[in-house]
Amino acid sequence: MAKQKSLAEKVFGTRDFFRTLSFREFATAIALALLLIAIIFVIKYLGSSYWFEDHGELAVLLVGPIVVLMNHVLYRMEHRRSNNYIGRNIIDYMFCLSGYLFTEFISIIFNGQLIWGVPTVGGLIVGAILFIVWIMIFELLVAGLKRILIKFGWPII
Amino acid sequence: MAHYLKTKAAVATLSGSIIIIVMLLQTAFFAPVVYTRWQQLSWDDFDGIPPIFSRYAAAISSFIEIEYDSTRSAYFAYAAQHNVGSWVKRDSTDQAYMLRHEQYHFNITEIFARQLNQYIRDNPEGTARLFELRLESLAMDKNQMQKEYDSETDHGTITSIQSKWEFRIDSMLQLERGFVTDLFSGAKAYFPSTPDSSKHIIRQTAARAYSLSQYGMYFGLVSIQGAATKSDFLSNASGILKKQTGVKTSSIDSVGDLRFWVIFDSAGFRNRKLWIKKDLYIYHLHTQYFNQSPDTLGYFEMSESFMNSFSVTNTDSYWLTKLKAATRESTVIKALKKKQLIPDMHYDCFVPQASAAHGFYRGPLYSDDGSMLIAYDFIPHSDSLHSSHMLRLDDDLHITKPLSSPQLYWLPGARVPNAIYNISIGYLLKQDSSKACPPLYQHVLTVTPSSLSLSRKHFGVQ
Repeated sequence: MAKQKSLAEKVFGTRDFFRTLSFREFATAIALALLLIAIIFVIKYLGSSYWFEDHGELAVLLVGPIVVLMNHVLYRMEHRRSNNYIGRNIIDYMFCLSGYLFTEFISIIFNGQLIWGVPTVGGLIVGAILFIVWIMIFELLVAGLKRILIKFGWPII
Repeated sequence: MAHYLKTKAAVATLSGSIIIIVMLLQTAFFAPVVYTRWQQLSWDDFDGIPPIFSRYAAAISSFIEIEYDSTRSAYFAYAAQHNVGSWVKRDSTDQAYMLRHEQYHFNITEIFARQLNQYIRDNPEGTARLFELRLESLAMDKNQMQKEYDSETDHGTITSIQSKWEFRIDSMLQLERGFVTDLFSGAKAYFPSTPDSSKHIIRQTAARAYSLSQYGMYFGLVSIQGAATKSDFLSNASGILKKQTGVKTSSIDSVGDLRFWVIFDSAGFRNRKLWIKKDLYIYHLHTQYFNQSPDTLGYFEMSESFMNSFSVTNTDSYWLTKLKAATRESTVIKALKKKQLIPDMHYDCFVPQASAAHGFYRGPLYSDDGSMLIAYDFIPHSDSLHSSHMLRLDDDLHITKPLSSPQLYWLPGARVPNAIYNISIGYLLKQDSSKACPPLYQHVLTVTPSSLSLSRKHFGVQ
């Protein structure tokens, strides 16, 4: 008989995640980060057109979480199992790091300078802590959404 | 297990392509970037490619930069315009009006650059980081103001509100320099840019005027010399009301300084006029704007702002300081006879003309040593045409050579009477130098000390 996983193991366990971690997660992070940047660029570019002028900011706010959710959906499709809380946090960091690096790379190429500049050590630590907390809170909301979708018989995350 | 690698590669490639296309459009295919410091812009400064589907005809990119000046060992900030971030659709109509709207976006940036420079001056020991933090805070305020500017003017399409914003922004750029003070009458009002000035004598009354036609409206400030009585002032006001057609509203306030308001429409223009009688002068403020368009709120607000900026300041100290600095050289002839050679003048007589206003004056003023001063700005004959000036008190004649304009007439303290007295101030013209007895253009003033106290600071002229 297979050993039953405890709740803590289900939610915070990292063994399954790291055991199956491969280039696919990195490819997903890179592709989706580029997709998010492209969508934001297009929204910003069209910012002075009729629809985007009024709804552009809302669209930018919404598109980020949607792409992150796509990342989780893709993970489930690729692994045929749902990612747990810690696993989702880790792929979020991979995704955000990819997005950050691409953004800075694009800025250097086209503007000749970094967007956010070089942070101080203190700023980096505070920023990292805030970022981690923000991702953790976001993923708690995703966990809630995941439960709701399961209730409705649509377990896509 | 699936890996969707081809899908991911396709998404990444497509996204990358979109990013490159957008960036190429935004950088105008790597067009050379030029930062133009604050100045009057032309469309040649707009090199960006207009975004597809944009509802606007033009846009400007402006920002604040901080630099270090090694020669002064100090930081400084300046407003700059980005040529590639700024664009215009060349087929748009009314290009001059559009450019003005964009220029005022740039002017807003300049306002905040000046605020940052003020902050830098106030914190000479500040670090670059401190100034950058201040810049971040100011940039938020700047962006907010830029949004309000676009929102209220509907991107420049509401003409009167556009004019109001131009007035407001110009006023903020001028700051204290925008106040125009008439040093003779003390009238002070805010003109967002330098007004035209003029002076006139009409029916023996001298007036000094400042006017500005800008922002689609007219602003005028006139100081009129004349000690009109309260009843004269009120009867003039009722005369104006009787004659004026299209009067919308009027009011007379006879408490304190006399004030008379009238608002009337004439030939499609709304006129707002205010007369104020205060001490020895009457002040007249006038604004006029086109009243046939639905959006006149901006003009009304500018008119209100102009009228509310008016005040009367005491400029006595300016003139007394000028008197202190002036060379007080005069020839005094006591008990002037009818035929007497006047030193330095090569005449032995002159023909006094009837007393008349020859210009606008302030005074008499009294310095601490008791000297009396009248500053006189001549109107029909400018100072350059005068050969000499005279101040006559009783039989004493004080002769001075012309100063640069305006003329200062003065009497030493010991010669100033303590009771009501007449003085005549006047001049001879160079063009009359060939005449044996040239005409003396004079203005006789009766001075009534309002107090015979020792300070002798407060006097009136009848």
